[in-house]
Amino acid sequence: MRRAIRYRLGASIGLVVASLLACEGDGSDGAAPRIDFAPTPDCIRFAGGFPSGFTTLPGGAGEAAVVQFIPTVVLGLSLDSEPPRLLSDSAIPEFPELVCSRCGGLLRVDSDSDGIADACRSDELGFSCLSPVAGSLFALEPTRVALSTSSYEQLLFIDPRDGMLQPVELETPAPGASFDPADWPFWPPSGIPTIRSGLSTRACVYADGLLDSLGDPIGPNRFCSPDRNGFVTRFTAGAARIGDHLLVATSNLIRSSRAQFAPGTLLLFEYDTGSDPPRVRPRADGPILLTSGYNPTTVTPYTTPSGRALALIGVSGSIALGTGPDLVRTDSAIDVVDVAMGRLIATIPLGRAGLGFSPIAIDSNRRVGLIGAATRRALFGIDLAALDDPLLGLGPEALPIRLDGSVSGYPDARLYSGDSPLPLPKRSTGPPDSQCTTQTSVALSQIGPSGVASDFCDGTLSILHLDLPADRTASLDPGTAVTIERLQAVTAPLVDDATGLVRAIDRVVIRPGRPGVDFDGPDVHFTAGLPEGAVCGVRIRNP
Amino acid sequence: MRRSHPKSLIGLSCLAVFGLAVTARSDDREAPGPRLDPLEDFAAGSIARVVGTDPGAPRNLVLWLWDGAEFSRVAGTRSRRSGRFDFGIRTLPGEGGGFDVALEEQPPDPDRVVLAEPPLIAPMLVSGGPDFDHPIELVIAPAIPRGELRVYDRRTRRLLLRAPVDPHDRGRVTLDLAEHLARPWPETISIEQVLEDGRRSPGLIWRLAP
Repeated sequence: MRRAIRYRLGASIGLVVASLLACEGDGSDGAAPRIDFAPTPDCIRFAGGFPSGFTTLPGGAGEAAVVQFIPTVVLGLSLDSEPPRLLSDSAIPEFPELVCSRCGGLLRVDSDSDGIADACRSDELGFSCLSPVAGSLFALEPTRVALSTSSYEQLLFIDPRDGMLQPVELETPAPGASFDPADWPFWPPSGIPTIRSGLSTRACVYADGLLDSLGDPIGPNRFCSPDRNGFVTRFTAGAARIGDHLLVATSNLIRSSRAQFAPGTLLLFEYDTGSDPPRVRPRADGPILLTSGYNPTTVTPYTTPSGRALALIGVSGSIALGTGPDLVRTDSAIDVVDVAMGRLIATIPLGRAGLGFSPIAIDSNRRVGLIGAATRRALFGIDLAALDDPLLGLGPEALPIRLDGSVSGYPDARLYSGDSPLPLPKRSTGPPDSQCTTQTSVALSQIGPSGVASDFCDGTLSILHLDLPADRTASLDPGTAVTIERLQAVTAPLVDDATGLVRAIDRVVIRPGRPGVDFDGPDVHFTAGLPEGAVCGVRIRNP
Repeated sequence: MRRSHPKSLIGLSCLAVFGLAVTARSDDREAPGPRLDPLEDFAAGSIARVVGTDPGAPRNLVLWLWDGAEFSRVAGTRSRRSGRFDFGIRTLPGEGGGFDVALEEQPPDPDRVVLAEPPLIAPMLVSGGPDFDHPIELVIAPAIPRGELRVYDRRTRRLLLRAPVDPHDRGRVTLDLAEHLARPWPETISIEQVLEDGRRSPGLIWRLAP
């Protein structure tokens, strides 16, 4: 193993620091001081690749949480350190495991804390031996995040400070005109509140005349009522808490390689934090909405200037796995849901865009919403002023109202669509598109007219500048509303000779607060997927 | 008369102690070097408490991270009189990486590195379609985005299918059973990841027959 040893820059400061250590430590058996040196690059690396979720935590403490994909754990991070450091000072547990004899006699996780291995529970109910696969992460409170999982479809509740599962009380509504407990097979019986660490998002959806994304009609499903046409939800995607509701998108993927999806759905749960633990129940007056298109992947809270609580649903469109052109097979849109009404009131068609899988970024003045792309080097955007009308969706019009200028009396909310996206610059040393189909994500500052957008293949951040009129009734010029200030390479590109280097960047966040005032250090953090999972910090506005 | 600033006094004290530390260095070199304990307490394969023993305690130590090619300084601490030292909870470096501990003025030693060797765990099933118990296409996420997946008949251990892991596909591998698996299908398959160095994961066991 003898190899040439190279010391990284910065090591020379070590002796100075060590001399201070010599002063502070007395060699007693008390707690010895530790000083962490900053390695380069400023990344914390963990097991597996491609972290599936990353979010900052509310509360202004400079904290975040990230999903280690395999083995699945949620790691709480302090962004005050360079690189970010773990919040926990003790071991972070994996999900508990139980032997499941009907699924090969192996240990399988019990993530929802029902005392039965998830795979066993899934098999008992006819869904085969499915275990949870980590998805996206969103913050509920400083000490509670929700992790979506697919295969074993659910939202899990976790304390990011120690990675421990957190309890919620599940309450299944009584049967009614809009709710049948039989359609929620993983929920406890009505009238029996039950403590769990996750809520199932597996549900039956019924409607006549539905087509899958390949145009095939959808008939009765064997997991649901044999007398009604419909399907069962699968592939739990993005979610958000909006007031006293949890909204969860399920993309209902049927077959990846053919980009075959059942219609998209949004599940609505009531979330009562007045009890301890919080109480969750499917909304009895209508727990499921169909989205306007296929493959909804993100849910973003948005409050209008008049105080109306909306959910913006990123409908990505059916997207095939792989590399190359034409992976996007159906149109994208951003759907608008009035949370109090529990109705889809409007949709903003964006054409054959292929929306990315990170939530919509909203600027500090709540005028523009930007979202990344799943298969191209671009961003898409909407003008949120189109949602200002407090009566939107309350009139006699058929819902959802199309906000693309095609409906008389309603504005065109499209700013950057599939036909006219905001292109991002390409790195000259990045891989050709034929080798790497990129994806982007975007974050916008909450203190100024700026933002950043990440490029998966190139390992770059595009620094954005926003020039938005103060008057919300003034129209936006797509040519000047959002411009590229500069391109900054932050990791290696995804090319063959970069093996071993940090690369494949994905989710990007801007640290809340004023750089240099509220905090020192990196103001932008992003995840990287190779050579293993990582969260890295970079200074964009904080030199 | 000017008063001495407390920070100046602290600085002088530190320098004095530093001087003593320099004087003591020859003794430090004669004592056996510090050693890390094996990195056994993996938590979820990525995190361990980095602790060890220093026969020459108490003295200043530096933790070095070996990433498989080069060292970087991670942290410093001082061993206790009991001979134990503790660098706290650390995220483990990637494959081929590890940690070394050295006296503050000495370089790390690649021959002494305690390697972080988290076990290669079984791949995960991301989706199976078009139906749960009649899958003809499986999307698999391996634990590490490289190497290849191998599909075996679980009962006979006959190799049925091999598929490379392409990092450009976000580490996902789509196994088209309908196209690549001859009928009749086995009752149960085992999907395992094999790395270039021969390491093999446990199997993801999947039942093909209802």
